Amino acid sequence: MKKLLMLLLCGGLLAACSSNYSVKVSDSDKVIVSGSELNITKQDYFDYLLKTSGANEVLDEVLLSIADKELTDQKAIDKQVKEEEKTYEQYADGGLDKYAKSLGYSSKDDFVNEKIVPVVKLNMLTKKYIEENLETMISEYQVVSFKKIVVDKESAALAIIKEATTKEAFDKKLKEAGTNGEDAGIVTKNSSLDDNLKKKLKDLSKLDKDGVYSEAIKLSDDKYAVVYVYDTDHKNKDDLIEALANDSNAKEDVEAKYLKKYHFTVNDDKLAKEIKNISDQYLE
Amino acid sequence: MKQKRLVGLALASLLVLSGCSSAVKDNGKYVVASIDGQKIYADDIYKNLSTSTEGKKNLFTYVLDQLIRENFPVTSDMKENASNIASNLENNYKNQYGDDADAQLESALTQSGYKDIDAFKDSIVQSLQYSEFLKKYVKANFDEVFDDYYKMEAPRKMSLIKVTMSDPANPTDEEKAKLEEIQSLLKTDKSFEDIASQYSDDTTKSAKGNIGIVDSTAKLKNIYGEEVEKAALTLEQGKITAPIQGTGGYYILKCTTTDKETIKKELKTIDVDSPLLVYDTYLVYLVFNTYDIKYGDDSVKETIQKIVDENLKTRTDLRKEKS
Repeated sequence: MKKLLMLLLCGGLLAACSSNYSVKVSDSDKVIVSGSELNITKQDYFDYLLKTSGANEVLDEVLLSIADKELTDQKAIDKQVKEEEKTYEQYADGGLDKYAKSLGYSSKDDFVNEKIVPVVKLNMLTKKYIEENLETMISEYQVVSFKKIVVDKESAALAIIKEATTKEAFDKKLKEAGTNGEDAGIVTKNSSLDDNLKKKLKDLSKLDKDGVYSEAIKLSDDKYAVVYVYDTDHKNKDDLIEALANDSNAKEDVEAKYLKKYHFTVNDDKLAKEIKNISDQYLE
Repeated sequence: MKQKRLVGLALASLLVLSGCSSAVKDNGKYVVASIDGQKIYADDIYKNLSTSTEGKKNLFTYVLDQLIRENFPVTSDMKENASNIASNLENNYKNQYGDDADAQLESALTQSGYKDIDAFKDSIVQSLQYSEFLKKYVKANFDEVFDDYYKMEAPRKMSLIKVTMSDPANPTDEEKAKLEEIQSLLKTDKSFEDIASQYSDDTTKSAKGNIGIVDSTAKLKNIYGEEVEKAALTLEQGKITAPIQGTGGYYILKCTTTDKETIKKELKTIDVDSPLLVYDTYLVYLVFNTYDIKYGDDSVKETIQKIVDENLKTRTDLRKEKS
């Protein structure tokens, strides 16, 4: 009988662990809403908030704390916030204040502080890591700047490779190709690209001289791509950093590295599980 | 031996306990997470989440949700209804996709934000609870709600005749001939209703073309096309339209009546499909205000009242604009 009770107790504990948040807010038992069959405590509401956005809030809070430690140039942050404000102003019909209110914010300032500042800080934090580790990140994410011309036959592709030996010659061919040619800009291994072209990114990212890639790349639709790789000396640093910061996988990896560096720990199993669901890299 | 087993069980319970995150406190306050040199307290998270714009919206949603759950608990009828809807959906998928039905349904559910069919059923049950919440108010305030509905939506009873066409932009001679014959008949003494029951290709043929009460919430464009909806919402009582190109064919519409008392009589029975429950997205705030809710926290009270007041103000403004 005793054993049975103990087993039930163990089972109860297990259930309690797996289904509820263990962290409590101060005055957790305080009834905040009652009447009409309601009896909502502060903890009930806290649990609801944790369930709807707790994992993201903890991550944001922690990453913003890390940003405050890592980003020391307040003027640079303010400048970036102003720029972001201007961008919103351009698209906000009737002004940013009106736009902010339409989203439920009480004022433009609230919108800037709640929405723009955190986004800017987190973006700058990501970019800081990328800048400090640019060559490693370029190699890891197979970052390449290229233009391409697509043709139907391998022979046509090889002819272009043979003839377009300079940038000017390739650009002329690119213009002639019309809609079959494009400047793809900066791409990473996570960009949306033809699968066969993506497989070649590793090789392309290793090239250290601008020029036409020596092979005609057979695409998945049986056409052929001739690729001209540029900015192989990575002088276009700001754009490379921007491209990597816009790669959601790279951003996730960078955030995970910061969280590891600062020994991020979570003292609630349920919340920890939810954070791992966002990315299993965020917690060890 | 007995003691050994008990020790074993005690150890097992300890393992269970250690598997559970041990609560970390600092000066009596729960620490949710930490990084080097910094602790994130439960109180910080609560403050951030509850005072953010999103958190304030969430507070109203949560209180409303609890209010509905407590006052309109799930009934066996609701569960049965949800199961039937889910079964119909599964059968439709089986008929349409055969062996691939499960995968197709799973994909459709995921795209609509449901984890699985049970989550879909739960959502239907919640919708039915929500309907009951609104229904109680609408029944108790029927005259007032109907007057507002009639003013805002200009509802009307409509009938239609459809001539199905494989390509409505390029009808075949046969399709053209059928449409012309219907137009000729409409010039005779033969009633619209009789022509509909004899010639219409729509599923409403058996109801003499009657598609019931129509307003902007009926979303006719989803079934018949945008032009048909536009005509249906503006046609005067007793009038018949020229043929209108719509989804899968041409349509001829008749506005049977816009009479207030006739429509009121038809809508007297409030069921889950009643337009009176869906025409006004601000009705929920009106209903919420009828409950005697007490607040033990001033900021919670202020947040909720602000959301309700703002929405009711928008509702009033909309009605001013309309009049």
